[in-house]
Amino acid sequence: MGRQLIIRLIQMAVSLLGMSLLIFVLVRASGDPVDLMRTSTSTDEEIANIRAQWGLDKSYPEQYWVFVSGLAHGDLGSSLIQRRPVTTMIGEALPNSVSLSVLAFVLGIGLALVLGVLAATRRDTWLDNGVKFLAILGQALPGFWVAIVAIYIFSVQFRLLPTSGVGGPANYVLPVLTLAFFLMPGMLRLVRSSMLDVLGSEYVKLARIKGLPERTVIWKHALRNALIAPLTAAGAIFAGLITGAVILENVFAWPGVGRLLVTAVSGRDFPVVQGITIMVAVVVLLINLLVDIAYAYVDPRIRF
Amino acid sequence: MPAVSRQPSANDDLLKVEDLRTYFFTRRGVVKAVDGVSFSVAPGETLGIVGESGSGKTMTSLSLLRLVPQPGGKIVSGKVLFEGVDLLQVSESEMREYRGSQISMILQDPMASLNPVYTVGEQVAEPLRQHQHLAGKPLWDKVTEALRLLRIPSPRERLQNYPHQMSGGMRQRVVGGIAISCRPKLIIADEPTTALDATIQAQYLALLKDLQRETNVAMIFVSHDFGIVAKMCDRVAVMYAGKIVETATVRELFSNPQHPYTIGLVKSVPRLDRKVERLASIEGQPPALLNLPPGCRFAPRCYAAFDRCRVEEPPHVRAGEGHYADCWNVLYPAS
Amino acid sequence: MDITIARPELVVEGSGTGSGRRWDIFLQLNFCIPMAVLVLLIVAAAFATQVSPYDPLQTSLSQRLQPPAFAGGTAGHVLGTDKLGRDVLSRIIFGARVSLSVSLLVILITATIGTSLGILGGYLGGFVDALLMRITDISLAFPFILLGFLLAVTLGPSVTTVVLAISVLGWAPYARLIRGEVLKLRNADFVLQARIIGCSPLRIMLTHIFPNIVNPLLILSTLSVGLIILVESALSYLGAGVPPPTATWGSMVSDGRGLIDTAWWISFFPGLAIGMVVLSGNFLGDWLRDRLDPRLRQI
Repeated sequence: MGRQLIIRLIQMAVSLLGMSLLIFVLVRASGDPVDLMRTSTSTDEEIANIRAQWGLDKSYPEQYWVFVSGLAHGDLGSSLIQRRPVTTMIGEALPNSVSLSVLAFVLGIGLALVLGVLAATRRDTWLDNGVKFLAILGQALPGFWVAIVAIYIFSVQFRLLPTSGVGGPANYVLPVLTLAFFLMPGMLRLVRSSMLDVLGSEYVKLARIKGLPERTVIWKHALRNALIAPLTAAGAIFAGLITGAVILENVFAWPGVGRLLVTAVSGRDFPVVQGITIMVAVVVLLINLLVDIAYAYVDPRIRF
Repeated sequence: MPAVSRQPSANDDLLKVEDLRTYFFTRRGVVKAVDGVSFSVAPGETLGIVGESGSGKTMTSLSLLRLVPQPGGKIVSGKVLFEGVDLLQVSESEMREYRGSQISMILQDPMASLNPVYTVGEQVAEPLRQHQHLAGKPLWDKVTEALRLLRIPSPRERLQNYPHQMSGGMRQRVVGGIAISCRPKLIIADEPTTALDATIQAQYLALLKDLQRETNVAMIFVSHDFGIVAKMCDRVAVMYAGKIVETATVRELFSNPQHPYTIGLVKSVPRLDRKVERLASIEGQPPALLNLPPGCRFAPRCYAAFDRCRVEEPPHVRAGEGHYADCWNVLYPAS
Repeated sequence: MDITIARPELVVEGSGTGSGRRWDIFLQLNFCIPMAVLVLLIVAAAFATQVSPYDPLQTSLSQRLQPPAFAGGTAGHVLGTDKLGRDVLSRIIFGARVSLSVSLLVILITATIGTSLGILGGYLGGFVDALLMRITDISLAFPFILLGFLLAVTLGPSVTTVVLAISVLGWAPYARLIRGEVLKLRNADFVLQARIIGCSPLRIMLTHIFPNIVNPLLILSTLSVGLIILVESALSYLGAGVPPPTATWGSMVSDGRGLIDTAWWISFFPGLAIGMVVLSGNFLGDWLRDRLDPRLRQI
């Protein structure tokens, strides 16, 4: 088990290195970034100075080395627009993103689990059909549109909730609900179908033959096995969380990392975009690692 | 002339099934999987239920435990008298008391029957925990005892194993251990050796026989294999298309089969002591249970069928001591 | 016949009686309605200039912010106009063009790459397969949106950028699915037969394996249409997709965001269009799955 962990960590480091290279190449491939900052009155000398300042006069491998060593020290460069370290900017925005994401994740996944199990155990009832309908709708409607419609209904028409920004608990309601709605359907379908499969299995039949109460059959025997399949999708679910957060932070003008990202994109502030991308890449790899570990824990067939 | 009569009601029967009917209500129509099945099992006895796939034998055994697959399946009528109590009338929670502790079941595929995420020990302990409310040392002692009864070597060490770490034969012994753990009065074994290697099959069957001797548990042995049934059972009921067509002791059934279907089955068992020109087989297929023809269900395949067979369902005929067959030919022998 | 007894639910849920009458297909609403929507989409995209009532780029200061015809606006603009006086319906019709072309391009690229990699990894196994799975897992877990932004900021937003952004990660589901199927096929007897008679691995992959994975491939492709449109519209919404003034559904929704309290129709209708197309694509994909391979049924 420990050996597996070491192997995974090494794989992670390699993946990270690969990703950083990829990002570096992509960014440099578009051409000379200094050109972006050129104004009509720039002199050649000024350009050369800026180039030296940014270290862009060195050779590519050297630049890459600077880049990577900077990464190792947690230095993501500075924003071209705000002239502040990227890490600082991310640091300010991160708590807002995390609070939104965690709340939405708990709500969305929690609901998906409960509804998925209920739908599977009460197959073909109105509950099951309602849940299926919800999942279908949730997967087809664009998240940003649902958010806007929600804003229209609750903020504009009924004036119940604020339209955007952070503030008190009321500000959290719509963003958290819409993000949860964005996350829920994928997990819901998985849980439901996985549960249906497991409920038809022989060992569940045997559990009933043993005379165990239905409650035990479902929660002890069925669910434990049913969760194995959705766990493999956890990586993709997490990607969905990030995507959803980025989109919805913009709809709700929520001052999180997502909003920071989009502002940077429109301003072509590539150090910020690059920095955030790398940070997310690290987080994604970490989450994958955690999922692998959890997977081994849950399914003894992997462990031995 | 053999007289038509009902089965006599014996008060010392452990299990007495009367006219059990389990139907499936599907969009295409009603599937009469079990259509008027009656039999009895005495304490310590082994009754075999033999039939082709689709004859209704598995559904019969599931019906006894009221575990007919939902949605769609329903036990529509009949009586299942276990020690005098009609199990079809008790509440669900009372039924659960019976399951696992009074009546238990061994399923066909041991890999599928065992939950992959729990240890073998835990799975054998479960019914003990549930029905006898044991915990700690007394619990694990009984678990080990159950595994020992199934002749699993080093049972204490095996408690921590997971199903995938064991061979097929061992797993099926664990399933047997689960079944016997609460010392039920009746074990239903549904094709317990079908998924095992041929060499392991004989071993397992011998084990079951030993188990019976040691614990005096009654058994219902469901199988499509006539040869196995001959070895294991005291009495046999032959099922076809949802009905029992013949019941007799093993000896009687093999030496003097009455129903044409049984005759065909007996003839089709290959024998090593005789040279046979051609293996006998029964022509045709069992009927689709959605649209059954009137009259005897076996008539389309029967070599001895005559007009009445195709029109009227045959009566329950006594063909000897404890020997019954549902056939017009038995009532009115052609000779 | 034992299937009828042991698993009666198979009898109930069996779709299609196999009676052979081709026109039966039109009786299945599951097929007709989504197909109709998609046909509408294709028609709109292909014949946009003929079908559309107005030029999508034509501005008109006098006709700014007109509500839809049924909500108090003029009959000339059925779905209203936006803040520059452009007709919403026309822009939706032209937006179909962007959505459809991006979808088709992306599906073509990702299906080709993903399938090839999936077959290679699945059939060859070993190190190649392990490497492929690792890359696939990471691609699946990486939010496409970040890549989209990265490319938008370096290459500048355009159709090419969007297609590239989605394709770089979009091949992963294909690779995973196809690899799974190939693993099952690899041990089949007919493959063994081909190896016995001396076929090269390449030949086996092309002539034996590939024809057997066409079904799942087709199903995934159909289901991908919706996903790609959602991704593309999200990127457009956030300004990393096809740039203005081209009409795309995503950017239309974005335009209307600031005016949600006064002109709800600018955001509403394009979003509705997205939802309907994606829904249809999903239904069609599910229907196809039921028809082609009931084993794959998931819901």
